[in-house]
Amino acid sequence: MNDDDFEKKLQSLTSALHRPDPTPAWRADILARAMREADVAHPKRSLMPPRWLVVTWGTAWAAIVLLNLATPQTSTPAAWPQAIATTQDANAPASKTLLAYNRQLNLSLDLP
Amino acid sequence: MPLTHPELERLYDAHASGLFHYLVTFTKTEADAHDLLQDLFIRLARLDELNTLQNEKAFVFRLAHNIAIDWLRRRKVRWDSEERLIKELDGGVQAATDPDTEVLARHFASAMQSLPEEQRTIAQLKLWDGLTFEEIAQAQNIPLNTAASRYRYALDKLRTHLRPIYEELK
Repeated sequence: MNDDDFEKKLQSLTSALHRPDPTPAWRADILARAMREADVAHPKRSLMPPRWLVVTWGTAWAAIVLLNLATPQTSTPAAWPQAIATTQDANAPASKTLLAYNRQLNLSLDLP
Repeated sequence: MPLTHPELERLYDAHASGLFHYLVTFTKTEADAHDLLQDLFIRLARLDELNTLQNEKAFVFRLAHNIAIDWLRRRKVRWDSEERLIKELDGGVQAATDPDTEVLARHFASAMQSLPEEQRTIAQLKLWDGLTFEEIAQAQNIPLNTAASRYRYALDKLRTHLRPIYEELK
């Protein structure tokens, strides 16, 4: 009997021998435990950002809103051009009043 | 990407039977082989990804081989378990086979037990599970030529054991 024939004969004998097999009941147990381990080793990723980032981000926005509410508004950006124009106009009534007041002050103090 | 649940199920259905048989050759008892099979699937589940560059069959058998070797190192039980396996295999010939095949199969089982472990495991992977020499070499982390020569030695010894009975039955 040559090697190939002998090998084939042995292979045919393997089916006549008892082969230890995992029972079907083991499948569920083994896979369930393996899957639990998989879930622990690789927790599912959430779409939410990390908690610390949410807290920091929320605190920062709260501080911005509070500061905005607590700060008195002295002027609005829309009034700025008008104010600048007023101060640049020497003939404006307010400027004239200031000049007159300055002259009166100089006279009373007798300054040159 | 870690293995998904369906992938684990597929691996189990494809390889569990062969892996279990392979593990039994080391543990000699089905209960211990069951524990090692469980351990093996837990390790597979913890993997970040299955190494797709390697042959899948060779990869899982290599994992089984490493687990079995670790187990043997921890548990030095070879002595009494050898006898237990021979007893298991003695009663292990399937009843439906014809008497000549049954006799030959018994002698074959006995001859397998007489092989050194490194030859027996290779003969089993080749004859029962149909692994190629390349897959066996990867599974056991040995050179290809070593796997082939160990198999050749195993065949020679099996032939020597079985020739008288085979000639008688022919």
